[in-house]
Amino acid sequence: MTSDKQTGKAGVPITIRQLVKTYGNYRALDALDLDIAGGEFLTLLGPSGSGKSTLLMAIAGFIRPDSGLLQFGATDVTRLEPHRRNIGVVFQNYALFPHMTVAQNVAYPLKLRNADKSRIDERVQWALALVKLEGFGDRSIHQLSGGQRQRVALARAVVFEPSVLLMDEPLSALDKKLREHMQIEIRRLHEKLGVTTIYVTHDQREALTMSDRIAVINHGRFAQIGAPKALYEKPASRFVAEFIGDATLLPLDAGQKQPTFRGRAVKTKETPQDNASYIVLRPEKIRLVGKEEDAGWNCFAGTLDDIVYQGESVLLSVRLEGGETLFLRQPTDQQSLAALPQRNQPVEVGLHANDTLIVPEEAA
Amino acid sequence: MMDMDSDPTVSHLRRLWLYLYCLAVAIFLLAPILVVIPMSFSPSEFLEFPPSSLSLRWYQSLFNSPEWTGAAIISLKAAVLTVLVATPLGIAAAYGLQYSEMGIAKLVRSALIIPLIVPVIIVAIGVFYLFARLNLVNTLTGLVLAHSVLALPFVIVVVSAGLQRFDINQELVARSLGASRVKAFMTVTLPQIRPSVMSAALFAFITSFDEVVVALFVSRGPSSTLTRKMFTSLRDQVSPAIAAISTILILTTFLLALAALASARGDKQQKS
Amino acid sequence: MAPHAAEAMEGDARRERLRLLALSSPAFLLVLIVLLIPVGWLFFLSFVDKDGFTLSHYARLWQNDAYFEIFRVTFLSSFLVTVLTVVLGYPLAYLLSQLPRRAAIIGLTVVLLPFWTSLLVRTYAWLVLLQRKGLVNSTLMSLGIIDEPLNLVYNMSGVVIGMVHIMLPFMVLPLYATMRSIDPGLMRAAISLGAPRHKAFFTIFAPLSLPGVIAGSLLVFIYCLGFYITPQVLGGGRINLVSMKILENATIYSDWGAASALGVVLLVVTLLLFKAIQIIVPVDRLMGRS
Repeated sequence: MTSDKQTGKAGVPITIRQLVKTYGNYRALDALDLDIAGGEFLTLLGPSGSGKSTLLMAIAGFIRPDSGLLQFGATDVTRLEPHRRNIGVVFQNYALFPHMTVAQNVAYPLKLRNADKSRIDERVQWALALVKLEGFGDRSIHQLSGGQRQRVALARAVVFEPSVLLMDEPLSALDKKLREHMQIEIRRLHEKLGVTTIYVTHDQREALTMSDRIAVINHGRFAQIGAPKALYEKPASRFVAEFIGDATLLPLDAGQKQPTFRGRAVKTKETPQDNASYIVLRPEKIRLVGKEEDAGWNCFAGTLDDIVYQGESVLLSVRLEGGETLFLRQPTDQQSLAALPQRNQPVEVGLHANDTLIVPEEAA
Repeated sequence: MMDMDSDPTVSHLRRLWLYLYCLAVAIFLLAPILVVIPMSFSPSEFLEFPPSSLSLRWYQSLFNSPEWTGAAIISLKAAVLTVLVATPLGIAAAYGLQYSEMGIAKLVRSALIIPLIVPVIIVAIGVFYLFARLNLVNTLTGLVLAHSVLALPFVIVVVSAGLQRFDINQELVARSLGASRVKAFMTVTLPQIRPSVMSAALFAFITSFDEVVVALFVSRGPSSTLTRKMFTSLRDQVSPAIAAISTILILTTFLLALAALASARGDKQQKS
Repeated sequence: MAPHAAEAMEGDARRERLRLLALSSPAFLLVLIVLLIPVGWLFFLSFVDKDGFTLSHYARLWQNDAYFEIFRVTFLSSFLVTVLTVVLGYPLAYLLSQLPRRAAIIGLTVVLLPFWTSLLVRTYAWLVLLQRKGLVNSTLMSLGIIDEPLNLVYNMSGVVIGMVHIMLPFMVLPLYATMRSIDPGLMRAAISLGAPRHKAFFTIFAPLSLPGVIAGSLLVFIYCLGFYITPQVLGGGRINLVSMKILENATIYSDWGAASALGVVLLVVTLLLFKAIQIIVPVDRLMGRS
């Protein structure tokens, strides 16, 4: 193990093998395997209690796994103390040091590395400029807004050129507008620095917006790992289909060779897997169709239950004959609005074969 | 917030009896302190209130008495040393017990709180019984050890409360940024729990300085503490000299408390 | 590289936990050596005499009427003090809890000033106030309420007055903390539902403040049971409490068996009562608030 592998090099690949962490009988991390490329932006996405934060804390070294392997590049860091890992961490509540100024916060990791004064000043200026906080160095933490604190935390986490940047729901305390703005900022910062970044969130939209790849985690296991588009368009299981994006899942008839729903064959582009058991209907992929059935469409008959105007779109809810409720989105241009049927009218909902997704209960 | 606390549905008049009752209780609470201070300035051999004229006679006789000044110096030494022993030990214990996830930590914590619960008289005879065998009776070392045991629970409880309010993520961040656990504690945690540490030290000081029962057993004769000497002389006579000592004690305590308060407030102002 | 085996990782984790636990060991050792071992020793002494194991020390406590009287007076005075601190402290804590915060802080300072004043100083002050020619008697006489000075000190009344003064802050602080945490909206809700004010107080506020009353009472009672300084000075030797008998047995008669047996009884009662407090309110909360 050489020390230059631990320090200073941006874009270190990360290898995780058979990582296990249990609390009593509960397996918080259930033998996880994951390879993250150098410089990649990977998001850990999952509901609360799924194990995503546990995994991040294990990578940071704050949680000791029971067994397994964790490597940064060629360096085994599994048993290394956190302060020797050369990682930058941004917490949800920022955890800025209130007894230090902005500049002192950012200089903290450099001082620990015994950098000389001129170097510290230079790096602090660089980092504050990077997060667009030039001239804020002498401010007290208490004088900053939430978004500014977020930026200071970021500057502090990258100022010493860590080999890995870890972020634990860093934007969840910000309001929606600021959050969306910061998503772009973080993305830009990542592209500039090229540091391997692991980002934890429970917000699927944030994950889709920011990531190179997303690892969906549930009950301490990866449900699916892939690029945002792949996860959205080709979910591997019922859980992923429901967790990413809005969807209504309709169960296929049991014990049939070909997929059928209430006795009618379901048309698909690709042959579904053997254990496939649900049709995924996303609001923006389905539309109202006429009575005469086009060959390329799967159709579902129902009644229009409700129409909710949401500004950029209209959300319709349709109750199927079996009692299930589907949602579909329509644009709000005048022509589309005028064409909307009345409430309680019978309608026909269509899903094109090319958009028809069929998922299994559990990933194979 | 302020308005939410007071209840507009009841008039002050209907509460008059409550105000008067509480005023009486407040007088009961404050009267002893308020009476002692003027009495100490009396020129008379006897206690009189209000004093017929003002004099520093009793203060002079105190400062000229090597017995009293000697006792005061012993008390101060013991109190300062107790602070120096109990505060670091208490901080280390509070930190360790807070973050060690071992089941036994709870037990150790209970054991460390015991001196707060056990009646002082029992602590005193136990300590006396032990010190008699270790030749520690009538030594400053013995007194400081015993007082440190009495002060430890206060330090631990106060510092633990401070640690609970502290955001431990800050220490985690410091460690990720390259600080060892010790360094992270010294540079990030300790500066922020400083008000708790200050009041813990104050508690330790007063615990020792004000303690009588243990001192009755283990600091006798020329090594008497101030409070012990006061206690003994109270049995013989009720002299205004005691009022003078009491006044000095009251002022010392208040100055210390004010200093602690000022430092805590300084911290707050820094934050806001 | 092969994944790390569970044993090696478990070893690391255990070492870290032990290192943290070890931080408490100096404090623990100090308490162990200076307090726990000697008290254990006394416990042992209470069961032996020169011939070996015996229950005679305890038998004497049981049979001797003088000891019975001492326990009776100790419990009686502790009980009186507890009741009086509730009577004086509850309305005060209630008023403070209803005041705006800034006014409440001034009020709390009045409670805390004596709390921070030396116990011996306060005891001395009461000695001065309660003497035959003291301020209390002279005031009462000049007001024409009494003709002859009352015997207020060197008897039970002096002991109780002094102890109530010392103990009152211990009652008011937990009471105040409990009452502050009662949502004032509850009283308004009760009144809006049609309860008269006094009824709302007795059905809503009083029951919710009960844990504070119980915790404060137990705290005061426990401290009173082992109290030495104040009753010794204000009782003038005429009021004998358990603590004084322990001291007397140990120092004057060097009868460690008898002193220890008394100490054990006192300790057991204290610990049992303390356990009761902990079930109602954790000690950390009581202390943390005060």
